[in-house]
Amino acid sequence: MKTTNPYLQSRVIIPACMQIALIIYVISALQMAPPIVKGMLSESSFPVMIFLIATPAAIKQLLDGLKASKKELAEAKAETVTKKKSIKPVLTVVIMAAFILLFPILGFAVLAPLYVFFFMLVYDDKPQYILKKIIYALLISAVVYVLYVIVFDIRFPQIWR
Amino acid sequence: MDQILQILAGTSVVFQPLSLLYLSVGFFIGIIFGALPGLTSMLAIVLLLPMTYTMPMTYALIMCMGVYMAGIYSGSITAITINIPGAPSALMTCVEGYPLMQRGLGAKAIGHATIGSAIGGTIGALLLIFVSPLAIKLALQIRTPGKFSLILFALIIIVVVEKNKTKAIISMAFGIMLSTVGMDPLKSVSRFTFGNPNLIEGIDLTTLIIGAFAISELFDQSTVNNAEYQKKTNAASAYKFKRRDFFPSLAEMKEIGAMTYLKSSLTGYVIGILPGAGASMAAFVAYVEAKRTSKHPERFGDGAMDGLVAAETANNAMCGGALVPMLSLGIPGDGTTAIILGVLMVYGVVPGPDLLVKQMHVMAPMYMALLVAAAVLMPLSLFLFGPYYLKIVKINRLVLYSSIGLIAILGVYAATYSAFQMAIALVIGVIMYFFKKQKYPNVPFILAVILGPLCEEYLRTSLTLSNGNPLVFITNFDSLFFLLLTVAFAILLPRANRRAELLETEANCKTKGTV
Repeated sequence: MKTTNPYLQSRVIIPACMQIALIIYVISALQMAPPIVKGMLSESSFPVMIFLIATPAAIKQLLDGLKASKKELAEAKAETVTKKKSIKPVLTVVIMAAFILLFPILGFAVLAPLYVFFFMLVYDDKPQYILKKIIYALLISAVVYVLYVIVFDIRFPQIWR
Repeated sequence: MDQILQILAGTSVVFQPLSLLYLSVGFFIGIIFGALPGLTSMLAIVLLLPMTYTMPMTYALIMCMGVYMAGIYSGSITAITINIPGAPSALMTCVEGYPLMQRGLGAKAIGHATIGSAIGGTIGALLLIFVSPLAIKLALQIRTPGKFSLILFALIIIVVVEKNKTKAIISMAFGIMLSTVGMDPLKSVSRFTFGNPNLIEGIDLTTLIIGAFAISELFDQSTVNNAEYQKKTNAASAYKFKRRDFFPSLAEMKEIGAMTYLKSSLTGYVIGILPGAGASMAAFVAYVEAKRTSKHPERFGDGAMDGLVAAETANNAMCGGALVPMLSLGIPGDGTTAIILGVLMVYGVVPGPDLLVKQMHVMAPMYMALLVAAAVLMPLSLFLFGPYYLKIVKINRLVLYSSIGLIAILGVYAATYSAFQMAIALVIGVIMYFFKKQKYPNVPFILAVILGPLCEEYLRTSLTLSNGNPLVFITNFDSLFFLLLTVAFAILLPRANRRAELLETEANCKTKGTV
């Protein structure tokens, strides 16, 4: 199975993104104040230090990643064959993102059982035992509600509130 | 002496019915989380973190101690029965425990692991009780430049003990970057908010911890094949043991030798004191030492009971050791103690040398809880529930993880009442998932989140007090001491690490080969 460019893998992307984040971080810091003001460390000094320490590490990691990808490319003769990647982490992110987005509007009572149900659906190997999952979803939501709202006195948004 | 008496007075609090209930609940949560592959005691405390907001701090800490001690110990259950370490610290237990299981001695191996863990945990807790007052005295001598050098020492050591140091630096830098979002610690200036008012108060500690440890783990676990997991766990739950099978005879314990228990306990305790070293390293070092001094080194790797006992004794003794720097200096010894420190910070407690002086009455029961968890609950629970331990792995994965998913995300809301912070937790979870996939260590991240702001505060305060003179870090004796200690450890630790890594690779090969 053909996949994406071997250079576009986590081992290259992570240090590259980290380096970009560090650059944005240090620019934002320097926009606030120079690192030393009247002989004293300012609010930007510590972020600048972090930038100076982490940059060589991120660059080294990036170069190591590129080197490994290059080696992999050479060994696989121009095209890399990798295992099929699971879509489940992406689905989990989508479920969580939807929950976070809708939670203040729809509240606990509506969203929690749906969230648990879809979570179980994603975690299972195939869509099966739907009724069992619905019952579990309702039970888990009820237990979590009792735990947070009744035992620990936390107020969640509700659709009627 | 006063402090020891205060700690001992904590016994009366621990033995109150409500405290015992919290301790037992924490202990069993720890057993379940430690025994299930993929879940750890650290994750259990992460999930409990938002719930601690509404309970008295003493109870929260008592519960954490139960989770901590039980979580480290119960990693041995699946390590022995199905050759999958429930917790990373149980890797060496796999090497010796699984061959014993194959020979029909699984229950006895669990029994030895329990007794070893109980002895190690008890010695670790006792040493913690008696060493703490001394550590407090020394800690109180540390002034601001010394506090900075101490944190610098901790941050450098955490990087040095990691296998891939550049990855550890990146992980740490990421933690510090996130911790600097919000108000500046010394001036009333907001930083890195990018015009978003939701970020003015910074990213909540609970958000960071749940995102980095719970949510990222949920993404990781979603890729596990359910059918394959059930196949492995069914094998473990098919075994039937009776209560008496678990308890080792006195002759067997004599053969292992009192020195193995004692030496492993001390090794685990001392390694626990080192920031970032953790239970895995404690188990490795104790295992190597047990093999070196064993009368039958040829048995190691093929079911040596003394190897198993050494590893289990050391990893539980580590608990007491890891709490020494956390309580006396505000430096967590491992990831779990970093989260416990997070629990303290939730209550507004500032970690540092004067923590125990000001809050000893609140902290004292925690010491005794650790001792009770090791000395009483561990053997008692084996006696009462030992045969059911093998059934833990039968807990429905889908129910378990969907519950964790709900508790985790609602935990952020409960701590912050903000959907924005929930979204941040999700983003951090995604980033930390990719970090984990590429083997970026997460302990430097969490320690940086906690220690980073303090490091900046002490650095800037020291330089302000000395009119910008950096020599203040050398002219102060306490600061100089920690700087020299940093240099010494930076040279010595990588050597010790190389040996442990070699052993770990061997152990990994062995466990993979037999699963």
